[in-house]
Amino acid sequence: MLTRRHFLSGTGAGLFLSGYPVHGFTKNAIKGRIVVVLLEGGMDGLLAVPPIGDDNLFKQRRALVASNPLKLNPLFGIHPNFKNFSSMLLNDEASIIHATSFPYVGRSHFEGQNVLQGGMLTPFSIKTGWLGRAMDIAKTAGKAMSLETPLIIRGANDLDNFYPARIKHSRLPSSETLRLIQSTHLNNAAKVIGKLTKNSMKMGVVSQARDPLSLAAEAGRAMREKDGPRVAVVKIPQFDDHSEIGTDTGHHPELFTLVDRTFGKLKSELKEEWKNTIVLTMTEFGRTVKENGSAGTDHGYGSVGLLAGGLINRSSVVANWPGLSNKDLYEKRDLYATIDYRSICAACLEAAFGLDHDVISERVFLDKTIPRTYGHIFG
Amino acid sequence: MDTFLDKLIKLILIVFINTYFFASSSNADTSVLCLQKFLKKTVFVPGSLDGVWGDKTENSINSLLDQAGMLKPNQNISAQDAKEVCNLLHSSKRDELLESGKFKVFRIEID
Repeated sequence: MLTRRHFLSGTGAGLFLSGYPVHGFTKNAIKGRIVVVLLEGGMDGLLAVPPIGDDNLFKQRRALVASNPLKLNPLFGIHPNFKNFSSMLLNDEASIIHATSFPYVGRSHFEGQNVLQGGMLTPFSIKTGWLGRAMDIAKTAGKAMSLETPLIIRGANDLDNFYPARIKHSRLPSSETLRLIQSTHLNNAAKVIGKLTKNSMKMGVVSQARDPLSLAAEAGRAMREKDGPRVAVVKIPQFDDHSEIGTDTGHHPELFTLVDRTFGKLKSELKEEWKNTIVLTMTEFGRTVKENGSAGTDHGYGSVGLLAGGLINRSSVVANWPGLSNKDLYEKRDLYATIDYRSICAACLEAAFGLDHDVISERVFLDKTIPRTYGHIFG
Repeated sequence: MDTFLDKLIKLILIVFINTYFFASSSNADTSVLCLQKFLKKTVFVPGSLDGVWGDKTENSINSLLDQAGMLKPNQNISAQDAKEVCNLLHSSKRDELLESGKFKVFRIEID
């Protein structure tokens, strides 16, 4: 029988590049770059960034706290597997948002992913994604290099997406089609598209789609070009650890290493453009505060968001810490989300695309009440 | 003619008014209360709104002003500064302070 977990595992990693400036369409291409790292399955934020200064952490979780987290300040530490990210924190080019989530408390992967990509309060209430709508407003909605177009980058304007596959007589475009696609771009953009096309055809979709690090490297190389894509979405699946989640070692810590190396790879490949970039992680929900009987954690609410990039000037942990005593938990089991993660996405859009907060809240998230967090992250 | 019960109720009322109204008003400071009411609108909660300067009020106002970049190095706001700070909270800096006080920022202190 196909279980939900097997389904999520089987979907694999993926990369979606979008916002290529298109000759004759894009005016005044923006300088900023946004990379969204989608952590599918629900990352355990308390394991990634433990609030070591909160005594209730050790009362609630007997086993699931790393033995040697790096102490960031009196309240927070970070799992030692985040080596690259910790260096970025030290260099004032990364920040952490804790006790945060999209405003979704239903604990369903499918609804949660839809809310975080659509950016609406209700799942399946809109056919476009918040990043796609922002790209429309910033007039950077260009080509998407993807087999499918994930909800998050779908905008009101039709996205011209293209991703060559090797299936005979199916999606493999003719040389004439390739020539036409390249002809809509100039100079470096044309080169990048040509190179990506060749690479993806040579490597095959499957092998490429299963390796987040090579996808991150590809994204970084493409995005550092002058006419390269302004937006990338990297998917890392398999965070749904209901059993044997791991503490110092194990499955979740291995995924932390993968996320950490993705940050490192993006930085090294973006080179000079790193200074114009913001990378942010998103996960559909956090996990329960207490471990379950199988040494794992179940679907929860509040989690953590990791941000990195040269657009950050001073590292910090931003958190309205709700506490971990039983009375502080959401429905007596989950970390409360006291920061709406839409406000963090809004700040990233403001930093990378130069859009006004009011425009973002009203036209991207269709909600005027979203608070402005820009000053707390990028100020 | 008052009954014993009436007299008892009057006595309790007099004791209550003396203990809580006059006593608290003698300890309460309007400037401190001004700070506490402002802090209540932020995430830097001051404890109860009693107009009495205590550790919670002192920590909260110093944390807020520090985060907003309105404290000089090694400056610490204490009870005697309450009036001056109250004026600051109602100056043109008010909106900036309210904005800053929506979220707490914990600086990175890696050695």
